[in-house]
Amino acid sequence: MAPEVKSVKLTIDGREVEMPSNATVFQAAQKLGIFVPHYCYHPDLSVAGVCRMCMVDIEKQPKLAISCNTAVAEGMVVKTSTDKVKDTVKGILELHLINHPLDCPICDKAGECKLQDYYTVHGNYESRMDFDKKNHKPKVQDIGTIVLDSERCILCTRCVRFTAEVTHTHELGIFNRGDRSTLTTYDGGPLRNNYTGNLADICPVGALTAKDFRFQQRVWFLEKRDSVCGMCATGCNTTVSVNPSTNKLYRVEPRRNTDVNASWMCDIGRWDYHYVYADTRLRTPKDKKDGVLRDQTWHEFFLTFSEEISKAPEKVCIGLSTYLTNEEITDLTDTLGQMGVKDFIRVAEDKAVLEKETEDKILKRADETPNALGLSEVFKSQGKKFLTVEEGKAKLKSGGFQWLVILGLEGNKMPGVAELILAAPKETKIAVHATNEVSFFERCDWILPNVSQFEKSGSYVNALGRLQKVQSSIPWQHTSRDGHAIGLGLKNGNDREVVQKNYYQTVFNKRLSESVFPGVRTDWRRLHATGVNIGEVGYREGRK
Amino acid sequence: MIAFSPENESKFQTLLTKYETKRSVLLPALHLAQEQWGFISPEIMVFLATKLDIPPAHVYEVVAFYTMFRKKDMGQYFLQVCNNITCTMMGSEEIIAAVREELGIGLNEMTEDKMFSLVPVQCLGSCDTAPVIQVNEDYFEKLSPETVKSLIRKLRSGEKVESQEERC
Amino acid sequence: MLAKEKQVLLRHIDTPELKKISVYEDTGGYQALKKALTMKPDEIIEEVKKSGLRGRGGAGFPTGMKWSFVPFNSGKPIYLLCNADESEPGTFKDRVIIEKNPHNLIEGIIISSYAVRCNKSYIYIRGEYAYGARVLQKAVEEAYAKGYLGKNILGSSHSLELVVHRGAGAYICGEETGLISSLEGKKGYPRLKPPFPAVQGFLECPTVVNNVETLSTIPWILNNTGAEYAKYGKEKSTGTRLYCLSGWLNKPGTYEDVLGMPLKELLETHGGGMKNGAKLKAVIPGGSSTPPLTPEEVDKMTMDYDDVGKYGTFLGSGGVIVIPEHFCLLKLLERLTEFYWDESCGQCTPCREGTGWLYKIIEGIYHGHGKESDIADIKKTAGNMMGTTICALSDAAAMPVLGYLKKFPHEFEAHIKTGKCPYGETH
Repeated sequence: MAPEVKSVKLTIDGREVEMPSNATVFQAAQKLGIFVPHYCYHPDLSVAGVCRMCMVDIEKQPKLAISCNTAVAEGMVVKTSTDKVKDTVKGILELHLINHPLDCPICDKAGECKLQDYYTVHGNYESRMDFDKKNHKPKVQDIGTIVLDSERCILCTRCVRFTAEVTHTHELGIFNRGDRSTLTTYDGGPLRNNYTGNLADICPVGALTAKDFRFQQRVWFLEKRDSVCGMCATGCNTTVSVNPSTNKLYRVEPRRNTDVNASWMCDIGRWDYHYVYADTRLRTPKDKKDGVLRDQTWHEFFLTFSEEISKAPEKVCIGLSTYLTNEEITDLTDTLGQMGVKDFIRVAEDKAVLEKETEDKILKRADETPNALGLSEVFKSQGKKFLTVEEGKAKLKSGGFQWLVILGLEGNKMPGVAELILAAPKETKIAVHATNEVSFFERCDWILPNVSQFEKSGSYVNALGRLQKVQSSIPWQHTSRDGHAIGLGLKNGNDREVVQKNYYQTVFNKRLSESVFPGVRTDWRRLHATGVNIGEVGYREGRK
Repeated sequence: MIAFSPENESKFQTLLTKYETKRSVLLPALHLAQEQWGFISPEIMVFLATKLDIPPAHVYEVVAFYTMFRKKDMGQYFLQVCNNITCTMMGSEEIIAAVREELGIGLNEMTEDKMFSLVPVQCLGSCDTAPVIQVNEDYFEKLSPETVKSLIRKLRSGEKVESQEERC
Repeated sequence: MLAKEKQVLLRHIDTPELKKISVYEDTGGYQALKKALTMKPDEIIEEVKKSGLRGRGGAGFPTGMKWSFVPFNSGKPIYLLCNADESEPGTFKDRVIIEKNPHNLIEGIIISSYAVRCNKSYIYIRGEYAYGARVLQKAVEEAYAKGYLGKNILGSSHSLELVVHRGAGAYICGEETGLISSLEGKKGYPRLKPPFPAVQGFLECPTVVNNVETLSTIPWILNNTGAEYAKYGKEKSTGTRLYCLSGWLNKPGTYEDVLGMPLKELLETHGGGMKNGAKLKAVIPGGSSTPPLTPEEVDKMTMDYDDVGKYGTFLGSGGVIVIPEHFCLLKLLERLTEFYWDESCGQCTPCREGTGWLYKIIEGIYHGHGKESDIADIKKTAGNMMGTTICALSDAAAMPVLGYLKKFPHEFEAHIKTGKCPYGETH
């Protein structure tokens, strides 16, 4: 018997706001942009109400109330910064800090610690603490991907709720009671889920830090860029942190999008970025001469292949990886189509692409590429058909191809690629465009360095049909080139145009937004950072 | 492989029929386990977690939260001396001193023969008969240093000590 | 002093073997149940409202009103939980009922369950009361055998299953939502309100939690009417209650008398006056969390909900602790703050950190390491703990400390100034 949701008006700090009746005062304040301090509240977890920091003064109520657990009501008058509120919050903050170590300079959370943040705003009191009266709890404990420092923990229970409500793995608990309460894994063992990185994100203090990032970089040296994860077809929204002075990527974190990933992302998406800097990263184009790979130039590739394709386009089969952006796919299919190429293979794991559900009932999908749906949409709009890997293999086996060119590969997984390479008969030469070298590339005649998803910009369509922006955070590494460069190079013999600023945006605005995603009808700048559903209905209607 | 005795297993099965959820059976099941094994080891916690379909972390949390669940062997006679307000006022410090003298152990310690251990506890709800001590599950009230010493001697020698049932 | 035959709860308490069902029936037991089953549930609630009965666990909330908050038609089962987790230091009244007159409680539970349309009830008894749990268990079995429990009680349409559930050592489980968490097999963490237990309690179903003494009063009210009950005591503080007298008295024990009784009279008649003729220093009127009274206040105060407020304290759980002149109040506070520090569940920051901090400061003063600034520290920490947490444990820890500081400041000063305990305790 859920109560009916109505709309109610209330006033916070003299400003009126309208909210659904099942909303909380905290949410109402947020809507108004009024900041209410908090540690335990998290928008994608249940309400715990234990940090007691989000106290507000509600007219006609004798006691202050925590805003995270107070429902809005018609005519409610709320004040967030009366002296009573300020004093109380200050007092509670002091109690949070009473047993907390005071060694911020050696804590990795410094700079993004909520204790530090609030102390400067709400604290600033004289310390009454006597150091030897403090409680001491276990320091630095290795729990797998995460380092746990119980002594810094303020017992907000966000992490416990996360392992209970999101991953349902329940590794973490709070043991003992009172000020002996200690956060740890129950058996002292490691975390056993694929979402552990989120724990470091949601920990408001330095109790849980990610090994991958710990002491790599002080956060104030980093700049953040919004992007989308390309490690699977879910397309979790992310921010990528880069040190602008070295242009090096240090961290990938989820960015909240309630339509896609809430506030979470999986550990694969978060930490697989290391292939960007791996030794296997391809640095230069290579071709095979007398059975041996040698360094080559892009110019040579463009010239060779323009000629090869023009000579006999029907003898060239193009594999398009579903790591490619919609813009790259558009460019490549246009250019190659005009050159007379007929056979395109969608390079992905055929079965995984069809899977609509996540494989872990959380976020991770079997299809570990970001844009299979986008590829289908582009082909559909162009009235073209692609071959699945299975169909492509059959076609390759039937013979007659001089070249198999696989474009846009990323990372080390490369679903479908090995199968295609194996299926190609001896007389078919092979070119691959990838970020990293793997053993089965030995069979290839040309190897081209690709840019990674952290280097390129464009759009993906995730498994549920959401059009989202991937945006480069770091420059193209080494001599790598993206799909646009290849398209232009094959067409013009050079790729100068691609270095023009925002070339991908031009492709999106002129060639995608109208013809591929007419239901969306927007230009790049207006496409929201959280994306938009191409939507079955809107899309079809727009197309008519 | 850990298992309830047949008798306790049947008690456990009866418990399952009394409660709405399996999880509610955790406290009574832990009491039962403590009766059988004397204290709650990590293996027992995992055993009960499996039996009740709850995450082991929840069992660990519960065992650590409630003071009556013993995390280690506490010996045959578990002496729990109340040292809250009234008992302290009425002489529980002297009772503790007498026990220490008699047994040669301090608070939270066990005698070498594993016969006795001594812990302080919070108010046992017997303030009118302070000072009071709970030995395993039985209360002994209105104690003096002499009577507590004689109680310990009786327990040690195996002499009959009336249970709470017999006294009430 | 209330005459034995006029007592509501203890008039038969000395009857040998009262805990046996046949003996209880011989004293008129289970007649109220028979009467109740002929009434409509709402009529029973009305009768309880008329009685003016207020919860005897400590908070003093009107029982009839608490029952009427239950949504009877939510489609969910309704639970009645008997709070027998008596743990407030200085309190031992429920134990008397449980151990000596368990059927009185069980009869009260059955009638109350009928009133609130409940078919499943639990008695949550503190783990330490192992003997009490065994007595109750036996009594419950007897009641089943006699058809007072189970399906279609005494041929009526009302059915009730009753389970005796043992706690395992946690004061916080006496807090009603902590009790609910514990009964669900969890740590005894109190829960956020709203939702209130009456609407969403045990297993998210409507739940009523009542204290042992409260429920044990119900049969008498049914037998004698609510109006008759309201004649005892005072307006807003009707009826009788159990007073637990402990400490420096000649006759400590559990006594029943009316609400509104002068405290002085209670101590002198039932309590038999000060032991060894010692001088009175202070009285804790309602369990360890209630602020203390000075001897002058003891002379004036009456034990009712209104009068206690004038002295900045509460009736609480009925645990009256009498402190003689020779007992050091800092020693008492050291025990008391240690208790709340030990028993804080640890959920809310102000309580978790504040109870420990208060304990450390008080311990320091008691052991002669106190500083002048400690007094301001106590006030500030206690202030930050009050009204800032999910449940009342934090207030319960802070309030008495402030009470002693206000009424007995010289004891603190003496410790701080001399750097030792003036009562000569050896440390």
